[in-house]
Amino acid sequence: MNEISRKEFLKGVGKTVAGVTVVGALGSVLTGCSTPAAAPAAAPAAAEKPQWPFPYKKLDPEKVLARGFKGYKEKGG
Amino acid sequence: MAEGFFGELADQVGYPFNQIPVEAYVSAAGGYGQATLCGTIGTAAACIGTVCDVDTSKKLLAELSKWYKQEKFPNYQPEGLGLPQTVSESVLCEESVGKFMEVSGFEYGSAERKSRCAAVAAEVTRKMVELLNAELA
Repeated sequence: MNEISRKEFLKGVGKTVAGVTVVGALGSVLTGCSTPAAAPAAAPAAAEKPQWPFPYKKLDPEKVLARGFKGYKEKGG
Repeated sequence: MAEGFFGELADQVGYPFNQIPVEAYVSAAGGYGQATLCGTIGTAAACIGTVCDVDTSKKLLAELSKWYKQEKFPNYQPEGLGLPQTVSESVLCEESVGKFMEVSGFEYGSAERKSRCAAVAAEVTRKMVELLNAELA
């Protein structure tokens, strides 16, 4: 196998990111990022600032394994 | 990572985890698009920091990063692709993915590379939850 240079690797990442950028740009025409104008005039009453750190609940490691894989494949990242 | 952790907590606990948009972490992929820090480690830092105080966060993140650098990825291969395993010896995407690409011959844009990184994200999520379960629960 040939060694992959940093330049070549970044080129590969760049292509993917560029694709996402193009898709993102097209997507923004349709949906866009949220803007102040699109935000509700008043925050809902339930939106109180939660206390940090948030309360952790013990999770099933095998369940998050499967969900993490599926999430990456379907949503990316 | 974000879907596995915040998504699961949103389902089981609800508020405030159901206010976190997991989509906000998608751009972490590809080392934040710059082949720098593995997006899974960066997202893990956010996940841990949401449920731990600062000192505990630093401790668990250091432990997770140390494990990441020594672990053979990918172990979890639900698609049965038989992907080769590599040890990154680094938390940088360039090293982690680069070594896999070098050994496997798969390009960055390939479906196999995406499956490999999905497995890394999944396995890091599992390890992180194991650490959190031991520390907090």
